Amino acid sequence: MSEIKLGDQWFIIVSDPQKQRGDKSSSGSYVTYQISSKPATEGDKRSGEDDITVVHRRYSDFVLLYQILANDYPACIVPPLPDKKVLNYLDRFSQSFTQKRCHSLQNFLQRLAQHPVLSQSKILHTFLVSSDWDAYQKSLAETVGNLSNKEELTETIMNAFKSVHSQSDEFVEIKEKSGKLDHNVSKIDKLFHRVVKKQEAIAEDYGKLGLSLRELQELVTTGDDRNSEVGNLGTKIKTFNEGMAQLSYSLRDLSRYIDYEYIIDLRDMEDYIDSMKQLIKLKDQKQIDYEELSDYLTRSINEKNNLISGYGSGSNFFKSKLEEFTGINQEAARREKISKLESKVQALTTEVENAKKVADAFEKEALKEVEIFEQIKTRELKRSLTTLADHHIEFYQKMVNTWSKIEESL
Amino acid sequence: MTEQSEHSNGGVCASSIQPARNGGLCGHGGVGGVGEAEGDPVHTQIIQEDNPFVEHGQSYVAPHSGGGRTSSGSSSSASLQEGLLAPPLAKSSAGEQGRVRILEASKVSEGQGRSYITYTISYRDRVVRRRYSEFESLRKILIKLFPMTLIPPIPEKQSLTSYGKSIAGSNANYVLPSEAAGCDLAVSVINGSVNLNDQKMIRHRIRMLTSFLNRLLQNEEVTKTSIIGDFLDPNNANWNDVITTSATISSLPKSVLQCNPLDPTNTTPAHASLPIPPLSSAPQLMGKDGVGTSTKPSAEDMEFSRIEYEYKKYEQLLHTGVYKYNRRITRTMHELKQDLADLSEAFAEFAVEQSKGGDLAELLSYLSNANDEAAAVLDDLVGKIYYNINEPLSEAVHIAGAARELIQYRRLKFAQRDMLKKSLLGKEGHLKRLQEQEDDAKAIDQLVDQHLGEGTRINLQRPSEASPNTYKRKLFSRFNKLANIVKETVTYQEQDPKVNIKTVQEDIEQIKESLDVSASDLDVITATIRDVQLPAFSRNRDKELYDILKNYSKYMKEYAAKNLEIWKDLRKQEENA
Repeated sequence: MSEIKLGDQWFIIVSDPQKQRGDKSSSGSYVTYQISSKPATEGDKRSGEDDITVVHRRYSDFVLLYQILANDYPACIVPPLPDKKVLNYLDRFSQSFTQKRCHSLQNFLQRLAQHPVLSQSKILHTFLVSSDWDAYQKSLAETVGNLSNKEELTETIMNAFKSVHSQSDEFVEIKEKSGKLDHNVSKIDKLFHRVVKKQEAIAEDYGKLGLSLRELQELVTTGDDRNSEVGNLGTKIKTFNEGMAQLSYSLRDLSRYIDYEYIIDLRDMEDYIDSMKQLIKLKDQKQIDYEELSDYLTRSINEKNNLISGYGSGSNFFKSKLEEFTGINQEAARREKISKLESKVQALTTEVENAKKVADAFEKEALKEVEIFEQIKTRELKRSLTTLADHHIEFYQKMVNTWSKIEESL
Repeated sequence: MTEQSEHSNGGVCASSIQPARNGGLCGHGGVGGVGEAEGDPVHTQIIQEDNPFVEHGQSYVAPHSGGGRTSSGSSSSASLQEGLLAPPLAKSSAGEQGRVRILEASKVSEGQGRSYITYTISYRDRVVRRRYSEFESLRKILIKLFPMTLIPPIPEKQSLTSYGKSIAGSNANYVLPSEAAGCDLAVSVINGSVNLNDQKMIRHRIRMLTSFLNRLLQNEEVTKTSIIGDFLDPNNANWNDVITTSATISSLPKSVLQCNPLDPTNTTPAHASLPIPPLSSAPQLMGKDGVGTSTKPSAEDMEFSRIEYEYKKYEQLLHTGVYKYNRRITRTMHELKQDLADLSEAFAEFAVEQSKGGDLAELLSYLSNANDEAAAVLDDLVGKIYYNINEPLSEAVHIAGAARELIQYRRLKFAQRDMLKKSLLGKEGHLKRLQEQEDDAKAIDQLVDQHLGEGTRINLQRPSEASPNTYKRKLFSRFNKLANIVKETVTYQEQDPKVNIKTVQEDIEQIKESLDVSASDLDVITATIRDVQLPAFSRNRDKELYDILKNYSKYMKEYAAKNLEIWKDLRKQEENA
């Protein structure tokens, strides 16, 4: 377990989505994201803000980065990107959409930066710091052309209806665990979605309540100036209403945080789990390759042995009778067959050995990757839960302050 | 007697309608014992002092004398509640003694599937049962007896189901917030099997009716008379009998507009014959249609138009604004509470599943707890807002309605006076015309006399010989007649000018008399409403709204503080982990 150590956390922030007018050649507008990053310094003091590099990238740049990494590191769980599909009814440039995507892209980069292998890739560094990304991108263009169907390729492999014969307990457990994780995360995601909807409704109603109170305040104030024992009710309502306004506003803020960041964290986690599952499927595929080959090998050996020992199988009996009848030299044919089979078995044995090596190596990598995934997952969940708590603390602290003041001045 | 019969029917254990945590109801024996002690309809249902009802989730009954003491001393929100219900006096112990409580509501079957609810009212050491219609009748009588006084409202008459629906909104699953939250209504028992919606509506009525009686008991004018005492007197088992046998009450005119505002028990003939303007009539400015009316909107009337407009606006803002949104917020919060509880469960499950994950599992289970606590805190807030904010707001809406009724009464009295003024003008005009005709006729007579001398007979037809009619009419009470006169001011058939003149003169006298009464009444009413009743209403309203705001702020602060603590604890635990 402890043999794998996550990379030190880089400082990476994706922010400030900006709509850009497309130049005459390209099609339409797009959104750029600002990426501020600072490599983790080995234990030493960071040397201030000067180290921070700021670049601007658009979504398609992220896609390119992803594709290259997926191609170069087939045995790694490359963290997924947010959906490239934009639902029709969503405004691609709306704040809600770009903010969420922005947060998701940040999760993507942070995952990369923590990954012990991927974080060392040249392309990631170029992506994060190079001011000449465009040129780099063009030089890659040809390569990329070949990459693009890689995903579909894996897709077809994945669709094979085969399953691994002998699954190691380890992977059985991993699969079970990831299934549960997925279930739990998506359940919490859905619940928070409900919470957000309700909080938004409440915030809106607080707003409306505030408007009614304001009208009431005006009505009560324009009325006769009574010297009631309470003092001026209008002033009281006004004081109270300030609390309502503040509450409505900060409740909306809290909901927005949950909606734009916390829930996005959960969704990204669900996607990440999917990527992990894909890798395991790929690993299974390698093992299936090996298992099929060794099945074939076994069958060939059996056949050869049968021939040697002279016991034809049932079906072969009639065949040999027939051959006998037609005057074919049985013995000669048998020898020839045996020698053919022998060379086949030889070739297969090497292939099986190779497949075994590949499968084993892949399995080892996959285990390592799953471990990395586990660590990143734990780190992420902890971080996002902590942030969630902090936002609630901030919200309630503000609320306590506001209403204490109001209660006092009432 | 209905009380007797209901014990066999109504004294059913009502646990099915109680929230789960009040489930101790059956086992407690109090209500279960109802059936055993039939002959005594009253005390059997009162669970006596061995019921520490506060600790038992405050399910039910306040013992009559001890109840007030216990509740006011037991929890701050309970005493706070009383502050809301009856502002200034309630806090003193004397006020507490003289307060009404509704101990329970029981469903009484009338047979044929019909049933009604009786409310068991405890006042001082007496207990009496009344049903909704009796409250309604009491209020109608009070309005006539004290036309210039703001009579507190009772809940509107609504069938059980429609009320339940209306407060539950479209969501049929909306249940009352838990009553363990220190809310007041729990001190009443509901007997008989009623569904959840009915229960809500009955609780609402219990609250409103209690408040109705307590407000009345604080009204010095009302308490000067014996009517409330009569209503609360167990000897008057049948309120209808009281009404029909009371000379005072049965002598009250049908319409409050014919009551003598200064002494309603003494309806003078002049009052009894006042015309009744249609309710929809006279929208504020009478002078507008100006049919020869001399009544221009005076400054006073303008002021009242403005006041009426403001009160309407106030009522509307409170009802369709503040109250409505607040109710919706409460409802959404109530649903949100469920989500938080679900989250708590989901995080717990997650924690179990991550049990190998070390501190992550721990963090997840903290979160589970935090959400659980947050749900409880929210539940508490929902209960407080529901009972101590929404209900008083709804009451404030009703009281505003009662104030508007009072202003409307003044407007109708004004319309009444205006009707009389108009009739008077019409009559006087008519009289003038008749006198002119008469003068003309005299002149003609003279001319004829002069020219034709004594001997000649002339058949001068008098326009009408309908005199029998005239005599008959005189047999009528002159005041009944007045009502007719007012109506037919213009449609007047030709009669013997002399008779006509006399009749019209009499009419004018009567109208003048009524007008005098009406005008002086109006002056008193205007002054009383404007200078006494409305200011008193405003003071009370300001106080009550202020209390609502203050409580609301307090709840918000407490709610925020509790949540802050929950999340800070979580953060601390997490850092320690």
